[in-house]
Amino acid sequence: MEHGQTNEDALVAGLKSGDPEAYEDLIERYAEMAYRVAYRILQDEDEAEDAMQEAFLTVYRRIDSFRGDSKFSTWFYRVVTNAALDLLRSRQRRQGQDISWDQSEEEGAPLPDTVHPLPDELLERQETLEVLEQGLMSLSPKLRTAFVLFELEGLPMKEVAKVLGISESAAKVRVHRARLLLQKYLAHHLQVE
Amino acid sequence: MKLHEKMWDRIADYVDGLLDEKERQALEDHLRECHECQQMLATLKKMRARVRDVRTPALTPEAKLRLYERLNEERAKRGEPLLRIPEALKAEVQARARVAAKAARDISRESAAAATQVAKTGAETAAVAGKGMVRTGKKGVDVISTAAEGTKDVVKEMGKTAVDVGRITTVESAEVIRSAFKGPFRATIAPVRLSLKGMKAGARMMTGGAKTMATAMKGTAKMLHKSVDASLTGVKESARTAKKAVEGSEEVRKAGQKVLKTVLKGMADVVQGRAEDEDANRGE
Repeated sequence: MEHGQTNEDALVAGLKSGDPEAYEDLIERYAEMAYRVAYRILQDEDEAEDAMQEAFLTVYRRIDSFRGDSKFSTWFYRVVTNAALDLLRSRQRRQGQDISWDQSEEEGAPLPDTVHPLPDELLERQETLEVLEQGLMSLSPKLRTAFVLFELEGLPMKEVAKVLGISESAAKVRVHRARLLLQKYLAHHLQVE
Repeated sequence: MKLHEKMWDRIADYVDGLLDEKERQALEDHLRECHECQQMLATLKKMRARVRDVRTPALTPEAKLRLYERLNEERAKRGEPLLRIPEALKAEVQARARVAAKAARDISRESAAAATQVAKTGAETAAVAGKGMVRTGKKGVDVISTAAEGTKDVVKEMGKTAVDVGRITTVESAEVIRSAFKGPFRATIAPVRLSLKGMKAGARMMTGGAKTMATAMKGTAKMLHKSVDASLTGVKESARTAKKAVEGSEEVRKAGQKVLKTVLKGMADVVQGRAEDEDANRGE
């Protein structure tokens, strides 16, 4: 952990001084993750690449604003998710969709009163994966982002909260809601009574 | 079976490892007794595992190369030293480009062969269908001319009967009436002769009718025979065309399969960068 932290400190120092090797190291260490997270939020390979490039350019232009209050990886996750969400907003604006992502919409998204367990057999079906993918896209961007960071990236809830700039309990609510809505989506689309 | 959101939250926290020791113990005690919550726990764990199976495309070497180039553009604007793009990355991108070009050539060649096959099969089937139509058409003409001949015979027979009956009822009856004026005896037997003429006309009409009927039936039988022949020819020709079409479809299917195989191989080669080595071995 300490060794990792030292590595990260050295990386940040290199980035701040504009050292090309530090940027090469940054790409080798973080490009895969940036692309993966951006893709999960945007579900589009070209846009994910754009978001990834934008995130690296942001690091290059604004590394001086990183004060070290959080881990560099947390900060970078934040940069990536912001780049992806910005692209998502632009896309929705182009398509004339409603782009209000306010708090009430997020936290107040209608949830089912009751939850049904899903049969194992159903969860194991091949088609379930496709429905899950569609279900992920049906989530609001904020819920999806929280879910991606926690469930797919495996970040601890505390980290998810830091990346999203919200409290840990709010992050937990988003992840739970995302999961609950996904379960409901699966039940509905795989026609479970 | 259903569960309230609050309980679901608690189980989700348990799965996520967010409960403290006391809460965890309490939930485990509850789980031992509650079948419904056990099922929900199983669902949550399974769903979590399945979500991780959802496909995420990997970052391609091309996208990574473009990232290096984009950062270098920005650094060049500021006059800062450029990043060194790893040689392995450049080589990988070049290899994939060569594989992609080769795959595109293969696919294009197979597609052209398939298109030729489709055109050839289409032309052959059309030729067979055309010949069949001509043969069936000839038989159809036979049916029509047989029908015309039959109708002509029927009309002829009907005409003959009408002439005979007309002659008997008008000319011969007039002869009887005229002879009646020649003497009292002839006048006396005239009604008998007239009724005989009427009976002769009736008999002639019946014979004529029977003959007409026979002629019509003969014509119909001839026409039916021709029609059956024409239908058989039609069926035979359709079968011939269908056989050709099926044979052609098989060829087209094979050609299509070949294209698909080439496309899939090309895609696999692009992904794995395989053909690069093959090309290198061939000294390309």
